[in-house]
Amino acid sequence: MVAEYSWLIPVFPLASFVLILLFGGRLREGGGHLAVAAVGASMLLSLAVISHVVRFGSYESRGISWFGSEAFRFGVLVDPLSAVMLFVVSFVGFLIVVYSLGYMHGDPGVQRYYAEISLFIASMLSLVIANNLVFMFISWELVGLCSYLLIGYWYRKPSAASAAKKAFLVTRVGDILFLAGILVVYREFGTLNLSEVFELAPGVATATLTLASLLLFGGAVGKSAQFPLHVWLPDAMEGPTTVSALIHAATMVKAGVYLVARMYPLFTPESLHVVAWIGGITAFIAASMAVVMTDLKRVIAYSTVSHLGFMTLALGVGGYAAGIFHLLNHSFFKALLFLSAGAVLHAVHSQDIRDMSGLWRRMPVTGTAFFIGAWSLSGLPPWSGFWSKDEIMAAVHSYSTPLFWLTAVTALLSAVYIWRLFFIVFTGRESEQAKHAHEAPLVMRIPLIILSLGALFSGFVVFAGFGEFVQGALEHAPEAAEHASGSVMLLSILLAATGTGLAALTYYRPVISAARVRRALAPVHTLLVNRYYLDHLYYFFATRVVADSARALRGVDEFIVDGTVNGTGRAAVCSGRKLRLLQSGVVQDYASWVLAGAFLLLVIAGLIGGGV
Amino acid sequence: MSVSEAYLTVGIFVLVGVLFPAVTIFVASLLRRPAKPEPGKYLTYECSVLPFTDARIQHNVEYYMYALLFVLFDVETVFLYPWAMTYRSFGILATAEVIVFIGILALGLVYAWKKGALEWMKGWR
Amino acid sequence: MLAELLPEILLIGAALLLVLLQGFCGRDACAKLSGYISLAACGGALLLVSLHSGAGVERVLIPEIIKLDAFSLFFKLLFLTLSFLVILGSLDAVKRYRMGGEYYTMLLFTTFGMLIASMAVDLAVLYIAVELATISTFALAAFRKDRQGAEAGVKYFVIGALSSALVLFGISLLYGIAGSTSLTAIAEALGSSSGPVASLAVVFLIAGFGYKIAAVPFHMWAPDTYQGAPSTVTAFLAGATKKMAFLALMRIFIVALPGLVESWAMLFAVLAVLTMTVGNLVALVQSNIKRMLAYSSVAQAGYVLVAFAVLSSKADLTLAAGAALLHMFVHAIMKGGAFLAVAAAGSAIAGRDISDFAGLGRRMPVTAFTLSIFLLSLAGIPFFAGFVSKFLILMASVSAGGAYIALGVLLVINSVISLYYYAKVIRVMYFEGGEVHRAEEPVMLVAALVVSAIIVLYVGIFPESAIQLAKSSAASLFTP
Repeated sequence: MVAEYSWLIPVFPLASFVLILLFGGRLREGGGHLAVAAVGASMLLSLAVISHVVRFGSYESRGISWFGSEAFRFGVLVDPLSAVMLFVVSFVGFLIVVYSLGYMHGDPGVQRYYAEISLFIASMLSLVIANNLVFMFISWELVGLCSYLLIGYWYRKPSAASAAKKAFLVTRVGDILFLAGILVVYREFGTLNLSEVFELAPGVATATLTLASLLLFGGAVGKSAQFPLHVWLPDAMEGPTTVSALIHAATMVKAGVYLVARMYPLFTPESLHVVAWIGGITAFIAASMAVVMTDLKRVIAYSTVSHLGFMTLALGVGGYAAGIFHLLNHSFFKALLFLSAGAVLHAVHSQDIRDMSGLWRRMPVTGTAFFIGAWSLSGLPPWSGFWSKDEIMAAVHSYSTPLFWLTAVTALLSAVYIWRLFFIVFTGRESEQAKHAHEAPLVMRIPLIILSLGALFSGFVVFAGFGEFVQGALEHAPEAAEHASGSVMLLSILLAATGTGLAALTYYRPVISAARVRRALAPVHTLLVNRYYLDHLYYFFATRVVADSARALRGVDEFIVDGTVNGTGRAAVCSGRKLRLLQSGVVQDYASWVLAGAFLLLVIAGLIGGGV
Repeated sequence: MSVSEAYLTVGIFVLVGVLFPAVTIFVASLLRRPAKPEPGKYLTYECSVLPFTDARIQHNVEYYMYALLFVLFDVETVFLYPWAMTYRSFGILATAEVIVFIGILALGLVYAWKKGALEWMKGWR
Repeated sequence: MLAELLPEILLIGAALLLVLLQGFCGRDACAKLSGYISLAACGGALLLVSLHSGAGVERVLIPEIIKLDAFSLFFKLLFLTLSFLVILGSLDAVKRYRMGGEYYTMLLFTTFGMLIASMAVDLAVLYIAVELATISTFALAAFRKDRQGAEAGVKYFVIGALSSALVLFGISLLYGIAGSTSLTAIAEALGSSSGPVASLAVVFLIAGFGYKIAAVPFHMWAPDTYQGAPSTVTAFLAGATKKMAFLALMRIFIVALPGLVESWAMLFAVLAVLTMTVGNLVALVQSNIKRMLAYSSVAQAGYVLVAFAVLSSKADLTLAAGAALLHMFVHAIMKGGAFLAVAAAGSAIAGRDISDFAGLGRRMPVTAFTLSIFLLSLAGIPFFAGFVSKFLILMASVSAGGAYIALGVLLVINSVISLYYYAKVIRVMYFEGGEVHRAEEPVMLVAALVVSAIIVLYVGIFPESAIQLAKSSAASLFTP
């Protein structure tokens, strides 16, 4: 039975990580071919396992226990949900690693790149098939670490280094909540095995479930860049574009959505309400910011945040299958958009869309790929984005009216920003930079073509019973949201068309002047360009509050106490005489601290012991 | 004797310890000669030789060596004396222990000797 | 009785032999010979102790004074393992810095003192053993004969003397109450009453030993001393002597003062919070690797203190005490290893700033690789030993419930913060620095590093036996 070997899926890329780390320097392309082979092997095995799940249903192994603790019984769980995710990660991952062979060619650090990307894929795969929360958390942390390393891949670039740090710290907030959630689950359920937890869930108090699920959702908020922790993702674009496509579009950022879907049985109506609203707000604000950004990758990044918001929203309003469906489709069209954007950057050597214009003639394949991605994303029929967006809108429609209108506006904005991007970059007069552009090499074009096919046709799985299949992951599935009613579908098409039309009238045949609109809406524009000032707020908090308290503590420790020594000590370089005097003074200070500490303890002992 | 009584003794001891210097200084201040400061009076008294540097100088390390060895044998005596007074009643085991003790100290002395700690100012010759 | 004390006799015999030896042979040859003699003595003692621990019986060697139980065997194992590794590593360092053979004498004296301390069940004997070990380390800390070495020694000594006075005062108060220095006698005399004098004694003992475990705010000396002392000595200070103070605290508080558990556990809780938080935050901004590791030591001591605080709960006490023991052992190996790696790097790199380590991954691959293992373990990454012990502490605090969970959560937050500065070093070693040349790695140090790394990985991947050992050793503390 092939499913018994599913534990091998993450082992291949893990082995490739170790081998590349050790011997990559001696291999061609820094071991890139090895990575391709390993990820390819994982993909084939994943496909076999997935077909097993499709035919025979979920598979769970008992697993092996680590230090005799049942909390640490690590096994494999492949159900319809993980099968979908497994497919996305291994398939898109494989295409992107292949693409990297062209994109990263000639970079001095490729060995590091392939080692890290192998480790990333290994941990992402183990995150997907884990049957235990601790195992999930470990993989979760590892993908976070890889993301940090890969964002900072060009570590000599200060912006990359600081973006990596930002991503690391911001997602950490979510990770702590996730861990707290795991602790709550462990206390309440006494087990961390997913199936056991789901079995026990109906018998647990609603308040506890709400708490646990909200804490777990906190992890998802960090990882999937949901409001208010979405700020790291646009900055994460400092990494190589392949990394953006793989980690920050197709796979890792989906881990948060996946976590919510995975732990769905724990979510109560109250916590789902929070999930829905967070998702809706994220989708809206990210889409609105995407409209004004001028950095090619950042626009796509904000679009990713917005679509992650859609998925979260879908899960929140009970459209379980719709959310997963969108996750699948989004992976294709967003990876496609990123990779074609990567091909553009590769050719133009700039990220600013104002430097790009009329690239269509020079890069027809890339242009077509981008066009397909944009079409799919904008939600125009008949390609994949349309079907899943439609299901989400239908689910939201039956859930809450204000949320529905928020979603509708977001859908309109989605069409606007992505077509704006397409028209600016590929149409119009050829810009100076565009004259030197050339089509990407074959090894980069083939993944583009395959992804294009995916972006075009993945939507049709909905007619092959995708919804029922995914619902099979849940014991007590929520009522499958009714398929898009005629009016909702009509509205959805109308919105997408309006958005596309607006973008075309502004940027393709300039009937509407973008500058005039900008002037008319100056305050809004400023607000958006400054990203709702959230980054400023966090920056203020991080530098002033956190860093200052660290510095203040060091101040107490080193400045007040040591400063006298070091400052003066440096001036009096070798004067042993002075140093001796200074030192006695310092040690006295240390001694005073010891006595002060003793006194502190005395006071506390007096408070609790009652009368010293 | 209860705990509080035991600490009463300590308390009295502390009190006397604080009072003694205070009272002494106070009485001395009653008896002092008239204050007529002049620079000479503020000089450090150093066996009638005029002080020519700061008092905080580095002393030759061999002073410390001698002091250490002195303390070593001082302590040895402190241990040996009570043992000598009672060794009859303590028997052979105590004797063996003292021999080990002296042996260890002797080892230390041999080490110090071979390292030249007993040669005065050897670096100056 | 002599059979059980054979490891100690072996050590002290070797130490005295070394004293004699120093007088009769030339400096460098003597240092070399002394190194091998002390390595052999330490290895022999380690072998003897591990034979004992197989037997697993409790032996009262001198009633009310010295007792050999599973608890003391655990610590003997810890101390001797670390001494062995440090001596092994020192064979290179001593040659490089032309330090005399006295270095080894001091190491052996310290180890001897620690072994006695592990068996002492009497306050006076415990104090003397601790002092023997501590005074020898004063000399070790000042072994580098330059400005920084002197600074390290003087700071360590002065604060050490003050703390010894505090400990002694605490002991004298206990003696005043119980009329005896035997731990069991004190426990009987005190019962469950908690008078002001006893509380005072508790405070002084914690403050005094707090210096040795470098708990905030008694930790000021540690960064200066760790930075100024030779790295091999720092490995020993952070790895072994610090654990001796933990040992003393556990023995005294669990055996002699179980009645006052409410008050001392509370004090430990306060210290744990301060120590973890301050240690980690200050470590974040360090640029010198030894100072960074020193503050990380401070923080790690805070984790152990969390386990101490949990001892006042109604939960499984052997779990908490066992977790503390395991973390001490694991920390000894990983922090000792980290400092030894710094010592090894010192053979090719002059500076001790983190930025000086750029490109170490290519320059000294084994050193950098093992250092990375130690750092990841310190950060508590799964499948490294540090994760197992930290997780046990977390389990203990979570299963204790109530406010103890808050301590556990704080521990988690702190280890999350700490990952940042540990990972920074790894990043610098592997991802920074331009073209570098392979440098020769000191053989003995590398051997010590590899052994430590294997222990860290073994305990990380197959933790069952280590957990079992720690728990059963802790259990012997609770059986009178």
